[in-house]
Amino acid sequence: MLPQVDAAGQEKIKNSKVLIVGAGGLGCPVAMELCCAGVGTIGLIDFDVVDISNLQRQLLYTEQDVGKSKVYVAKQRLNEMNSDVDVICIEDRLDESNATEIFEKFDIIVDATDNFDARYIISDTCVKLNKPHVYGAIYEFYGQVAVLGGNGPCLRCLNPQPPEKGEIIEAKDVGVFGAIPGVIGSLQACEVLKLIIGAGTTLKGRMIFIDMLNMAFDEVEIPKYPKCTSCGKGE
Amino acid sequence: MMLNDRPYPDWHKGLTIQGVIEHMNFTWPKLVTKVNGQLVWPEDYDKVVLQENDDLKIHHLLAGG
Repeated sequence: MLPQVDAAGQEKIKNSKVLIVGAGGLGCPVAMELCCAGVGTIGLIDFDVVDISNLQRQLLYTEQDVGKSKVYVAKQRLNEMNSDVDVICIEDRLDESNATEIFEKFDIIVDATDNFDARYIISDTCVKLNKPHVYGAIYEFYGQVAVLGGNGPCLRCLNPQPPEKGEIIEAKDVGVFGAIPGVIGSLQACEVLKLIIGAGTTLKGRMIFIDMLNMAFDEVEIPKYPKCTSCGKGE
Repeated sequence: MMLNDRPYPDWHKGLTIQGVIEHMNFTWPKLVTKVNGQLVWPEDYDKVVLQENDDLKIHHLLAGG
C-alpha cells in the first residue's frame, strides 16, 4: 500500500461520498476510477439515455445499452467492478431548484457536465455549501481540470457569467477525440482521491490546460476575484 | 511579445489584450487569459497594455463533457 494512502487513507476513501454530475464522457472514467479505488458512496446524476454516438468515448456503455438510462446502466457496471460501492442513481436534470438538496448529501462534487449553465449552478452551489468542485471539461483535442469551490476561488472568479444561449458550439456538436475524456476524467478522479486522503498538492485554485493534439500543457493560478458575485463581495 | 508560445508579429505600443483578441479573431466567448503567468480578469482585457517582452496566453474556457 502506498504510504501516502495507507490504511487510514483507504478508510477515508471508503467513508467518502462523491457526487458525479453527468454520466457521459467524463463521468464514465471518473466513476470507474473512484469505484475501483473503493469510494464508499458514488452519486450519479444524469437524465439522458445511452446513444450509439456515445460509445466512442463513454466507457461504461455497450451497444446493448443504447436507449437505456445512463445512470442505471452505469450503476450495474460499477457494481460489477466493486459490489461494495453504494451507487446512488439520480435520473434527473440538475437545476437551481434541486442542486442544494442533492449536493448536501455528498462531500465532493465532480463536474462532468457538458454545458456552461450546469457548471455555473454547480459552482454556485458548491460555494454556498462550502464543498469542493472538481472541474473537468473537454472539447475536440483539448481538456481542462481545476479544483474550485470550498473556500477557494470559484468558476465565476475565472469568468463572471455563463455565455448566452447559442454563443457556444457545444462539444457534442463538434466532436471529442475518443481518448480525451479518459485522460481528463482520470485526472479529476485523482484530484478527488487526493482531496479525500489529504495527500500531495491538489489543483485547488489552479486550472491546467492540456492540448492533446500537440501534447502541450499549461496552467494558471486562479486568485479569488474580489468582486465575484458568488464567492466574493460582489460588484 | 509571445502569444501562445509563438512570436506575435503585430505588437505595437499601447496594444491591449482586447486588441490581440480582436486582431487574432478569437471568437470564443469565454476565455482564460494570462500575462507572464498571471491571470487577467475579463474586465481588464481592454486595460492591460502589453509590453514588447510579455508572454500572453489565451485559452478557451471549455464546458464539454
